[in-house]
Amino acid sequence: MEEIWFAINDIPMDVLSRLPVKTLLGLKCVSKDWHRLISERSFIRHQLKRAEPVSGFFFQERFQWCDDDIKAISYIPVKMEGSEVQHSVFNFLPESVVLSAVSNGLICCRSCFPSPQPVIYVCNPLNKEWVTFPWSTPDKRSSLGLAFDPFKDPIDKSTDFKVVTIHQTASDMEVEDEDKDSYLTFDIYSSKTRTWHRSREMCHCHHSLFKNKGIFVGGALYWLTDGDQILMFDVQNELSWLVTVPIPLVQFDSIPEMCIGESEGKLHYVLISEGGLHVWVLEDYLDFTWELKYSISLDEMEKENTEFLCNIQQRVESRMAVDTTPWMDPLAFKDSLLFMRVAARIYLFNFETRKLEELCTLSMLGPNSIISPIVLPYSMSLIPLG
Amino acid sequence: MASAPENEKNASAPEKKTLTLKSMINNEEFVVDEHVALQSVTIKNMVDSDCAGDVIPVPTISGEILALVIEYCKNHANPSASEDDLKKADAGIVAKDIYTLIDLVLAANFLDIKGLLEVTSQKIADSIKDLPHQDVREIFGVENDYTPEEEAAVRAEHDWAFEGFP
Repeated sequence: MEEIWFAINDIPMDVLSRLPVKTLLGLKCVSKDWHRLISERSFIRHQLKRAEPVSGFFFQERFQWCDDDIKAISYIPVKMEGSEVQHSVFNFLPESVVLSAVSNGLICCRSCFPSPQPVIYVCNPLNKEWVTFPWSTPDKRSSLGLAFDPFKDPIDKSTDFKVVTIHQTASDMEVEDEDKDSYLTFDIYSSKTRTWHRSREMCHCHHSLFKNKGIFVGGALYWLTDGDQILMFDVQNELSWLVTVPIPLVQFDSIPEMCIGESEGKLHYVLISEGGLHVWVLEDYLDFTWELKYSISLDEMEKENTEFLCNIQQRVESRMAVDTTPWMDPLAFKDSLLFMRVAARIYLFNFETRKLEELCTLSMLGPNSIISPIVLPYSMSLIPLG
Repeated sequence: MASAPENEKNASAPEKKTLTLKSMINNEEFVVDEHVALQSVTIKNMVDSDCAGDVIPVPTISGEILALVIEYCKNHANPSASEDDLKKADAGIVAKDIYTLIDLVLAANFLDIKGLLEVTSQKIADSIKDLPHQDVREIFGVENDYTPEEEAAVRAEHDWAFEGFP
């Protein structure tokens, strides 16, 4: 019976769709039939229902004072044993790019500046497929978000997504006034219509967007700002909100660091302060309802991970100015995993097991890796493009 | 409801019906309570459309596999079983070698028992996850129709993801 069962029914498809992407890539080598099955859209759609774990993080340096982009992109796998930091993942694209956003295994990036004609790419680095489209208003300072939800927009025939770019405009650039009228505008590209349009929505916001940009959660994009607010943009209805963070930053004596990310379909806010490591979940964005999910004091954390951490309470407490580099910097959060820098090393902290794991040193990521790098959490997907 | 007289309750208690399932591979017969057997949608359809005689023949499923299927149905027909108990019992049923699991998944598919199909498929997936490709081919009866060059090319499609691959 075993000889024919693969051919006669859909059980093998059901069995295989329960496997993680990395295993499936290997199983493409079993036979040509299996390669075909694993590459089919119907199979991939089925397989997407399985929650794919974070496989690694993309890391790109940024110059602090210079306007040029840094071309090198590193990939840091989560399980470092036997695997190394990779530097050539995006070599399949026709030019060097700057990473912008990630959503369900697809990555949105743009041409490196300076560029004669900057464009935007959406790609799947796993199968090396990509689409490109013109950038209506190229601007290095604008931020890109990728909205791609294969559950709402099934991938049966094509892979549909939207890209949102945000421009920050100050109507009177020269006046450093508290009341200056600074607002954000949104441009939206739809892969279905292959066109851009400027949304009517505008958002008055005095803060700058920074760090984690365009985190896509439940149909909305979120941007962290350097104030006590998170910008939210509902892509379908083209509405924006400013969500107040769970704790005002002024209440701390020293300068804390934070990041945002997605876990279990909800937005999470991670804060490292003298009070410890805290994570809140955004339960309701209309009421700004945050629920504290994890809380660990720095002393506790150090006690449980003595091989990596030393004297962190004092180090974190002693940061008194925004422009001093933080000792501990949370860089990205996804599925209860925090990717963070402590001193000159990169660690992964698992909130469920409370274990810290060293991933690599900063020197492996380049000379400018300490100041506000771009970090994207990555889960592999088989999703085809184009 | 609570004040209903005891005797009325007893009077309305349904008579326990049984069905006999017979493996057509080795002619083994199993007598099971009807409500246990009805977890199979295939059998339920037969009973509902009056196609079921005293003995229901089950083609292509051996007595050994049928016993496992009935064990599963009995566990899940027990209203007092907790979710935890069921999970443990399911794990026990699928703690078998891969060839038994394949027979079991085909049986669950034929008899249309969704829960059993689910746990068995998951167990097969877990069992093949870390196997060498040649073993997977043997289990699934698939022939390697790649030339060595073609196989190398398939691996190269996803080179960076294979880094550190077991």
